[in-house]
Amino acid sequence: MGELLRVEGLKVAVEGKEILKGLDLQINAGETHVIMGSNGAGKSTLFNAVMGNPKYVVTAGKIYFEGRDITEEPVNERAKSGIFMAFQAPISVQGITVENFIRNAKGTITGQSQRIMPFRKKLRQQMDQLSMDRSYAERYVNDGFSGGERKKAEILQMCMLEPKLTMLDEIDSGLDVDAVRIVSETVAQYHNETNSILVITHHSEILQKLKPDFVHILINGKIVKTGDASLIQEIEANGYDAFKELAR
Amino acid sequence: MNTVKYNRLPRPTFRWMKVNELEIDSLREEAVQGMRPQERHEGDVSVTFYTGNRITDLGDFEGANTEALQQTLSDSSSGCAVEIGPHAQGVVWLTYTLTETAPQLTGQLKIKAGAGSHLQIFLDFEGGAEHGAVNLLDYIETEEQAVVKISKVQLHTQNVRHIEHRYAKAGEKSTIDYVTAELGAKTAIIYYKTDLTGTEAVFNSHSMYLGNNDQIFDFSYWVPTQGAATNTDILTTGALLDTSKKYFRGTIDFLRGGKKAVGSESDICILLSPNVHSISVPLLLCKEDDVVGNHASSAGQIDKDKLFYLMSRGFNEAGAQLIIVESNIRPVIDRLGDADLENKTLQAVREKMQFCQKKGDCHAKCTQRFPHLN
Repeated sequence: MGELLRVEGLKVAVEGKEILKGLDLQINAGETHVIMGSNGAGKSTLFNAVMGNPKYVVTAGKIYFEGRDITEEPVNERAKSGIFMAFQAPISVQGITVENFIRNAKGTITGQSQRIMPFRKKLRQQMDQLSMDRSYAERYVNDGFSGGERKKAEILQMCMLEPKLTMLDEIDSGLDVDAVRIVSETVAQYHNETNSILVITHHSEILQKLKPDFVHILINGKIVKTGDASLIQEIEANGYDAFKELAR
Repeated sequence: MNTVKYNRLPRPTFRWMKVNELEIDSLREEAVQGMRPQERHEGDVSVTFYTGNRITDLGDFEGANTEALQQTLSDSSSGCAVEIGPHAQGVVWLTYTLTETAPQLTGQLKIKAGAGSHLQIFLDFEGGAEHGAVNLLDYIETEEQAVVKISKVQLHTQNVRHIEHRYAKAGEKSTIDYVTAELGAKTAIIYYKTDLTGTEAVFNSHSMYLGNNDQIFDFSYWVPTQGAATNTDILTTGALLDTSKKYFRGTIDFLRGGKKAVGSESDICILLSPNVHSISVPLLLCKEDDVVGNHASSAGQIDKDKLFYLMSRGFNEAGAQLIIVESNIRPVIDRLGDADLENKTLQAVREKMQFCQKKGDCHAKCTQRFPHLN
């Protein structure tokens, strides 16, 4: 399996405060990784830094994607390379419909204009799979959507844009039990040996379908332990206290 | 050079704030030719053209400027009267084109809507005149339960001064609805006064603008609400580039007797350059105790979180900015209600944001999808 993402000694500051303090991570194609950690540990900061959010300043370290240094690349170039981030709080964009938005994003990422009929057919299939009413395709992006609908719209975008690396930032928060099942099944179905999934979650339900290959515990800006799925039970049973000792 | 003042606040505030009116250079007086707009209509509506004055019932209406208003009464060379009878329905399209040979327009648009009627008027201001001036008085009178909607797109070249005095009297349970897209002219000055005298009368005004170079857009509203349970909804939204300026003065005047009136006004502006000016003066005046008034004003740079979200979907920075600007103004454009005017407006927006250099008829594509933004 080829290397997809490699993060080396990454230090990231937000408004002058250092959040990530030397983080190393490697994700190969076909793998599913989970990042767990207490609130404020730096999980979302890692995702934002990998995606290139200018608010998150890389003060040291490097980010490589498919072996290419992308540390200084603008956000849209990373997206075109195949990195996708499903947001914890997706933004609403009035004035552009979901279908129009995704179709243009797809055209921009691939550099090829998308023919309307095949695109629409696939969009509808994906919406059906996510149990989304098809009328959402004609609504403005996330405008007036409930929390759960916004999360499903993020997954819909993932399915349509077909990224190589998908970062799911608490995609299960705000979802009811059925929606968690639908979302996790859709992500699992999308996942194959050529793409990778990186998940932040506080709950184990979503991981029943995703079957993580690696679980990383992030404490105080550093990965303090990496293991297999059994780590999740350990955290559920004992919390993060034992791992906080490792961070000292 | 002499200066002239427009759009004075009905209840001025401190002078040092410099928001009471717009003071700009006066224009050299030019000969005004008669201009007849291109017209077509559907439904049971009468459209007639005239010269001279047919508007006599303005009360204390002073317009954007008393002299300019007086000109539309005494020197009008382009009058258009639109009348619709009780319970009739009609649509009227009027296109005013400023040309090199006819760059000046001083005129009137008189609209009368009978009880229970439904009238839609589309106003299209365009043309290639290098210099020019428009001075137009719109007068609307609605009887009980009539609905009049005016959708306007203004795309003059950038050496035109466009002044519009919009006066309306809304009868009981009638609705006056303005949707306005201001993109052209060097200076666009729009003054609205709507007397909500009838019970449950409704006044809506949704305006969008996009300024570049040294354009000035000045929107002024005065809505005295005398009828009971009236409803007022005012929105201006847009963006400013280069050194352009926008003024918003909105006064909702809850007068005695206007119990249960509801009035909202909001002004939203995206600042795309550090050298632009956005002035907002939303005022709520109240002489009645049982009313609801809301006002909001926001001016700021592009939302960085929104920019990041859009760029994370592959759009470059300029493309993401276009989407944000369009998302801000699109709800107004979508309300225009005429596909050709909507497309024309969108194309003008994209030209200004430098995403479309095409001239001619590519309108149909504009509503379908964004241009390639990579």
